[in-house]
Amino acid sequence: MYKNPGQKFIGACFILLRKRENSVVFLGTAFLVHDEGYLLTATHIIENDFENLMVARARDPEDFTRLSLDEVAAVSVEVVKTDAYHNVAVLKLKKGFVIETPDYLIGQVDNLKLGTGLINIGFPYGHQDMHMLAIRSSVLSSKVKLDNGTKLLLFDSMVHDGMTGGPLVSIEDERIVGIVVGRFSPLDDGGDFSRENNSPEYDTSMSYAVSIEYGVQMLSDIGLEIS
Amino acid sequence: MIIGFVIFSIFFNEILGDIFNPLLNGITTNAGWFFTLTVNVILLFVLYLMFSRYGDIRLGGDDADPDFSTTSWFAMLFSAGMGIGVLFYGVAEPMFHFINPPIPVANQTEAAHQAMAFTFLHWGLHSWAIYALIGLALAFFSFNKGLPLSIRTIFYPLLGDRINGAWGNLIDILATVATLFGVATSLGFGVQQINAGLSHLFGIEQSTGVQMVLIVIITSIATVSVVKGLDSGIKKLSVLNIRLAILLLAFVFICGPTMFILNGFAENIGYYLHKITVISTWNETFENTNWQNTWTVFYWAWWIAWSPFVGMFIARVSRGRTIREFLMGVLCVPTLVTFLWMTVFGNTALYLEMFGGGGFAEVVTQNIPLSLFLLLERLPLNTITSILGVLVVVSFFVTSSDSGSMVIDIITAGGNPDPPIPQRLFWAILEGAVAAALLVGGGLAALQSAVVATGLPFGVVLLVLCFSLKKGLNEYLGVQTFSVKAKKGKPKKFQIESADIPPVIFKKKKQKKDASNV
Repeated sequence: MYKNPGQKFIGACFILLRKRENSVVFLGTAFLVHDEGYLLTATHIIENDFENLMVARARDPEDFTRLSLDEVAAVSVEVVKTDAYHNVAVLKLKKGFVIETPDYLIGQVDNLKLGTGLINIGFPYGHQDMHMLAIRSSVLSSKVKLDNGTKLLLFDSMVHDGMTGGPLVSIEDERIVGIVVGRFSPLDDGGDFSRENNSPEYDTSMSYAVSIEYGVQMLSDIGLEIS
Repeated sequence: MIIGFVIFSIFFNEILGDIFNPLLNGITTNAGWFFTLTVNVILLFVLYLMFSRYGDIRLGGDDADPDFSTTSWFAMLFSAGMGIGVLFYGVAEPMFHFINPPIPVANQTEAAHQAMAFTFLHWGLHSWAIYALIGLALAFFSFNKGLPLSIRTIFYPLLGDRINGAWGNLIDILATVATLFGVATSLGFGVQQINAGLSHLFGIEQSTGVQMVLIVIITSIATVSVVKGLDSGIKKLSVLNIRLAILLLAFVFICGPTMFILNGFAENIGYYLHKITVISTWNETFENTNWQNTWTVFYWAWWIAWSPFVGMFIARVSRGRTIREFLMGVLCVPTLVTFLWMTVFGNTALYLEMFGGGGFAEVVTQNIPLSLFLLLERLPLNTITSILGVLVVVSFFVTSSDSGSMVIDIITAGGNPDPPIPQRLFWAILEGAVAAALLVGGGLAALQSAVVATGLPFGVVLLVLCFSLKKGLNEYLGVQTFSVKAKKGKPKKFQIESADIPPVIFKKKKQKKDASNV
């Protein structure tokens, strides 16, 4: 019913930053899921350092914007909970905001069929000082489980490092189905950016996300319900 | 307050009558044009919604499943919406229009055509459109927007969050009182009608005592049904009610002038659709009569006054349907069923009048409560069918009484669709008690005028509702986005620098070994 699922979720995506003296450094993407200011992201981009985290919104992404945001209006966030096991973190905006979220945010991972159209949203070249929001499309390539039981959704586009922590959205029902972690590498644990490894069989154009159910679980542990 | 009202209306029923009868008269005389416009606007609006993209919205959200099967849904819609009226006016109304054509006609054939067309107009698309509109608004705002299932909800676009305060309470109290009196007065009149029927059939005396017994019977069946709830009580009774009605309908169809009815069904609908723009907008402008006061305009005021109650009930049972399904179900199906009913009974009556020796119309128009039984008398097996007729009348009463109590329960429980049982008991019994008190003390007619007089202000509300429903649907369908606004002050600005890319970590039993990377 929406024009396209991108429009629904563009506004949810924030640049995740860490404050240093008079500047901030880019960490990745985080996305809003709750009216009270709760965001989800991937844990590993926070690197166990919960201090001085901030988020900033992209300037109107429908407009032509400058590649680089030299200055950004950033808001502090606190880390509410992390789950390194499933690589999910819950953040909360520290300042009071009036927030409205659309209805029907969270999708069902178990019923998701292979080949379903997906999009993921984030800031791909943030680490390269280019802070434009980007949407990428793909299809669900595979559903796999790690040794520790973590459900992963593999999709066939190569995410860039800055997109980590962004939402993976099913085009069909326009709901979030996963939290993007990174590029998939066929190593023993399934996941790595395989940055230092250039051998073609390891450097794949496949990426993966963890199932959104872990994020929903963490939110419900804090006593929050999202639809 | 309700008790106060009852006492007031018993002791001052003359005064109440003096106030409300002229008021109702004034309303029907002076606001006829308003009602005519309003019902047409509502019908067009509802048709527009049905064919627009809003039809795809599912009441209760995309994941909702319908609570009831389609058959029992129709049964409940029909039982709550039309109920008892079709039994009496199905026979009597075409007779009235036939012997006294509202628009002057040349011959008998045209008079018959017109009689059926006006009957269809009064019981057809327009009245169901009113119910559909308010039912849809309640269902949408409550199931999709999370507001309570209560009359105050439809004022949300007007009053905003104030509906949760004193204003909302006032609206709900008024709605409760209006519904209670509406149901109680029709219960009161109903038992008088049943009593009249019984006395005609079996010679049982027409007395307050008999009527009291009838009230007790009807109220206790209704109470059991309400306490058992929608699923096991009201639904089953509605289905039973419809089965009984179908039985009666089938009997009249078979034993009556079958070919005449079959021919008439298509012809009546055709003539109604052909004339609908003329008769639905007709205001007696050039005739300078006031026939409409007691017919068309009275019906419009009546449907509108009943619409909060029926709409509420319709909304309650319609969760999980798409708007298109809902409107098809509420607008078209009951209308067709009503038309079928009206054709079977009305055409049989017309047949008796036109080709069966005549004189039937006169008897019927002088004795509306008996019209159904008078018709059955002219057909074979009339003892059995008259008993069946009484059963149908009673079951129609029970179903409108229990759905009325259910609506009051929901409103007084603050919009809880499944109100607590003691409360259900209380309201169902109170309803019978109020009806009994009014019957003994008098004041039924005055109160009924008062209820119908609320049709005028509520008509205005319905027009506003069209706008606010459209607005609500628009917002719901439009591009929904995230909006984040700072309460005060702007966030601090920072320079962005680049940083290293962190490695992925998954806690796991087996640590990844660097060696395997090579």
